[in-house]
Amino acid sequence: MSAAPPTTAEVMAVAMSRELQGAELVQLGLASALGQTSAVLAKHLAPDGLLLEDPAALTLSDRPRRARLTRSEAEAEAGCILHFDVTEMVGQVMPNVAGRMRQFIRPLQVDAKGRINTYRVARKDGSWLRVAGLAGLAEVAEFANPFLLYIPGQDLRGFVEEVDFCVCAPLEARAAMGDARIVLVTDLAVFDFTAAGTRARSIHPGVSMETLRAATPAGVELDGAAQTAPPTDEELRVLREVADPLGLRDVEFLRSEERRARMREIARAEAADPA
Amino acid sequence: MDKVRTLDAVLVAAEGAASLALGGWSFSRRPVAAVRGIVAAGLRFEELISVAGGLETDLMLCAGAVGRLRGFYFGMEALGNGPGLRQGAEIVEESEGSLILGLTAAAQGQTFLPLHAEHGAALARLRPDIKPIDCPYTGHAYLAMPAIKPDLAIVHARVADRRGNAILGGNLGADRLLATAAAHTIVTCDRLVDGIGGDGEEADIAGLMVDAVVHLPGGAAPTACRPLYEADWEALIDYAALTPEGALAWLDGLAPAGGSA
Repeated sequence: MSAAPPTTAEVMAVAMSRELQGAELVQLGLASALGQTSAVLAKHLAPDGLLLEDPAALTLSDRPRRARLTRSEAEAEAGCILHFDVTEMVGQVMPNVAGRMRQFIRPLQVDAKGRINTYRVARKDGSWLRVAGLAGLAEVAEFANPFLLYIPGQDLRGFVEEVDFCVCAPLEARAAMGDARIVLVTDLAVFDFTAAGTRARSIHPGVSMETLRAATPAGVELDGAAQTAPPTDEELRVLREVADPLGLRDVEFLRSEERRARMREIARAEAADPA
Repeated sequence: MDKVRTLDAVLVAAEGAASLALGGWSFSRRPVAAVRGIVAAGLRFEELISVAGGLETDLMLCAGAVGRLRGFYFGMEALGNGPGLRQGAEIVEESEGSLILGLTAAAQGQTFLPLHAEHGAALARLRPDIKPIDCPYTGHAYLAMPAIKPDLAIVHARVADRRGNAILGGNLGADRLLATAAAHTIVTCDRLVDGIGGDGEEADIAGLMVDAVVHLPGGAAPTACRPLYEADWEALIDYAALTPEGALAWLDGLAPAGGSA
């Protein structure tokens, strides 16, 4: 019997994991189900030389593991190489892995020039809505290469002509190194940002050019985009059976009570299956 | 010197402190029982310093126990913002780098430490109080991040002894930095022992940095204190959907942390 066709979450998780393979250090993301799932998947698919840093546990690990919502710390600590404290991670480790680390970040906004906003957006009445914070994005913009972004629901509120507030600009941060690159994976396509411009690298299977054009700001080249290679049978098997058997990847596509109900289901399943 | 006290006694001593730092990280070792004591005592701090503020920060906001926040991230991660943050807060913005540098400066007795100007471009737009400086050796541009010295830090440890030596557990967060940066540090603990060091397990925080120890078994719940207990995610999911008033009732309904001096 053939496997069920990939969902949007699975197409994204696999596309994201391909961007992480080859890095020396991959950070899982603190509030990011897809970020964690894709990192864990990358470690299963291409384990050699790829270390995982779990930001909930503050661990460095070489052990393939599962994506976990409620037991990430326990999963990360099982067989980890060492624990960092925050001071060490931020001040000493990250500067020393510049250009060798990767991490998927979900921005509030990204614009066609690759400027990132995780901080605040303007309301219609002119006031500001503070959403997250500055975090360590300015440092990550210099240390991570490529700088990786994902948006589960691409639209013109998140992928914009100009961000409301620029928290970091990775193309500028690594301009002196001459290798600055941003990759954005959305539910519709994969985009490349370089000093030469921003273009759609590939469109996901089943997504029309009209749909993509309606959700993409001016200044982004869409013509000539290939089709995203669909997940292979092996990628899907590892994702579904090994890396993320409880479906953490789906959480980011849910809202409100549906999201809470799904998280409760995962929490109960994880409690019954500790690391 | 026996530093074990009751929570009530240390909170009486804390009256008048303007700034408070609360330890823990993500959903681990948040000093929730201490927060409940602060709320019950009616204490209010001008500023709460959070290295990635979570449940404990949200509870302080719900209770009106803090005037403003200082930090680079506030929220409950996959659970979104809690009721305290949803109602809004005054925030002194920091980045990861600037907050760590400010606390480190305080721990070292410095008045500032330099942050690469390119790492502080966004921060400088939000914080006109931060002064630019040039490196006297290279001419490189920096921002002089002022020392951040909390009047009081409260961290929750898995084990502490009567002299204040504390074992945090595997997840260290930034608690060692908070304990050395703050003018005064209180350690709450799940397990209280007579002495650490005799059985091969070493402390993460030396008692030299600690003013008082409060024995509060379960004092981090519903966040985790591994390996003693995991985070209670059903309770955390419930919390994130509450109103501020509901959050305070939820806090009252938590099983009281036990312990004695």
